[in-house]
Amino acid sequence: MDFFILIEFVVIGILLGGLYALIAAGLALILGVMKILNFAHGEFLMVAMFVTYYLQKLLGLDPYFSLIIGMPFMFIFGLAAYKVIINPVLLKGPVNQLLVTIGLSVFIQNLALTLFSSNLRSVEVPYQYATIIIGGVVIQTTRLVAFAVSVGITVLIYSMLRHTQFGLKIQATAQNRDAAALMGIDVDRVYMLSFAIGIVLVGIAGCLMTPFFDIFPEVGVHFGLTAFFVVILGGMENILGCLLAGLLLGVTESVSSLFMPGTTSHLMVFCVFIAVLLFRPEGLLGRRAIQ
Amino acid sequence: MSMRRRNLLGLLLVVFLILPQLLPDYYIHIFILTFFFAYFAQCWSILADAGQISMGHSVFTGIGAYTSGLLFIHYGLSPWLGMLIGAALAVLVGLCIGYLCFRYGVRELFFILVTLAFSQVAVYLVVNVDALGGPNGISIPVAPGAWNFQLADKASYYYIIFLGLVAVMGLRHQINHRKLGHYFAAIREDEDAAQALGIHLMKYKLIATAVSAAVTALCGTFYIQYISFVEPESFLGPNMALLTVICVIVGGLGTLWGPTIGAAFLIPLGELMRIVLHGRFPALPLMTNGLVLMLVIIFMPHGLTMLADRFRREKETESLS
Repeated sequence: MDFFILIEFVVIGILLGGLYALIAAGLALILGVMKILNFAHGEFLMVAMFVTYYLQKLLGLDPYFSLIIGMPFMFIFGLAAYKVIINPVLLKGPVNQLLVTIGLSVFIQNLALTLFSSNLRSVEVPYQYATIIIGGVVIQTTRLVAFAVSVGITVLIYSMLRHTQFGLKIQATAQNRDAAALMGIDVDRVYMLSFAIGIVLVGIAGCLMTPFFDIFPEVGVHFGLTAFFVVILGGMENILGCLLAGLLLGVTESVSSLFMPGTTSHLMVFCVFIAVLLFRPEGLLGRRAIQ
Repeated sequence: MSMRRRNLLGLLLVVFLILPQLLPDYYIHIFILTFFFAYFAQCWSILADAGQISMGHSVFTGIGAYTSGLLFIHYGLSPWLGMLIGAALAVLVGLCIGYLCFRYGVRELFFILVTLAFSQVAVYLVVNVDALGGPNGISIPVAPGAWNFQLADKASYYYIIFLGLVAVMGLRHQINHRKLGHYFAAIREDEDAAQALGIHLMKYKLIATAVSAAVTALCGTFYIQYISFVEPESFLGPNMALLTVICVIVGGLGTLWGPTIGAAFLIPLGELMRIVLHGRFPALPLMTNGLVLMLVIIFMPHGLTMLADRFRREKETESLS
């Protein structure tokens, strides 16, 4: 019996890990291309969740269907955020860039608290409690869908980066901004689109989460910190590394919550985080010497 | 320092010393909060002067508050003494964190992340250990008396934190005008160049950390004695350290007056909003802080002190022509 519970927690962890990977993939893309650590990443997730919630509540749109409106919305939101906040600080050094996204994060989160209060909300759909049983393990269907779509999109983004012309432009810009500009790449456009795509990725994750996760203004804090962790564990700019690290973290968190009381599992996560930052800042898969 | 400047500072000092005799209690409270954050921001700046941006300084206020608080609760030790023990402990912890970070060459963004993670670890540690008060925090039992750091009126707290602020600004001014300060500046401007010049990076970064941690811990004790209660999530978590950092950036990073001016702008603004809104929309002051932080970084990266400099320069050019 104990064994089955363990398997179930491992499965829950893997499913959650897929979402972590998708959220972190957006962060890694932004970090990789413009070397900016987007502190407001979790807040973009929260915005996407609220958009999904209100689309369902006001228009009766199914959360999955609302992606059709949610994705362009997040894309435009990302573009606007880039134009207004990120573009002016591109040449002002990493600390100012981080601080400006911290400002954005504080602003969005407290704006949401002011508009929506800190009540928990949830999207209600008929298939909310639907489950499927695979090999004796009960799995929530919505979580499985979220996992499958997340992993699919993460892999899609990875192959887009490697095989399309736009992906190569992104890679070139990430490697050397000035050289890329000299080769005729419109660096500003690449930055803008990468940022917006990163925000769309986290938006998709937010949308997929709504059927099984409460929606509240501080929801992004945990996921934002987790995304940092995944990105650093996965080796900063490496999207496949994110996938691996996301799964690893999901399983660790889920299984350790089985054995450890209260929030001690979070304590473990942060201790590992510090250890990785100190001893292997290039990530588990990464190469040496990334500053 | 010019004669006029000295006169102005003297006048300010006298005004602030008389002020609590004239104001009602609530306004004194706003001044105390403002001085507290100005003090905290100045302490944080000592480390920032050496180029290290920390997001985990609430660990040090936390150590100060919890050490003196727990020693008073369990052993009846005067917080005045507990304060010093807290400061010593904070130095020890600061040196450990600093050694780990500097030993492995953690810089800029990574230093910010590591310190942020340490403040999260502190929260989870306190929440999970009952001896440290658990999630509910600790509160100081009532025992009025100057030796117990429980003072009769707000004005006394006002004078303590005001003199603390003056002292810590004096300390920063002294450091920055001595050899130590020049070493700090060299490290801040370019670590590799500083090392090439023969500056022992580890040594001077650790000195900055230790000094900053010690003075920060002192205001932790002040806070718990004044509010008579701390709660881990809000006090140890990154929020308070974040507000302090915002104060510094808004005032002007790397200037003597910046942290004080930033706190003098943001803290009363937040409190005034609270008065005007009558407790509705409690998140609005923080939202404003986020907005101000973005605006300052985008439009005046040197903070509010830049305005004063520009004003002075315009005046000088006027008098020249």
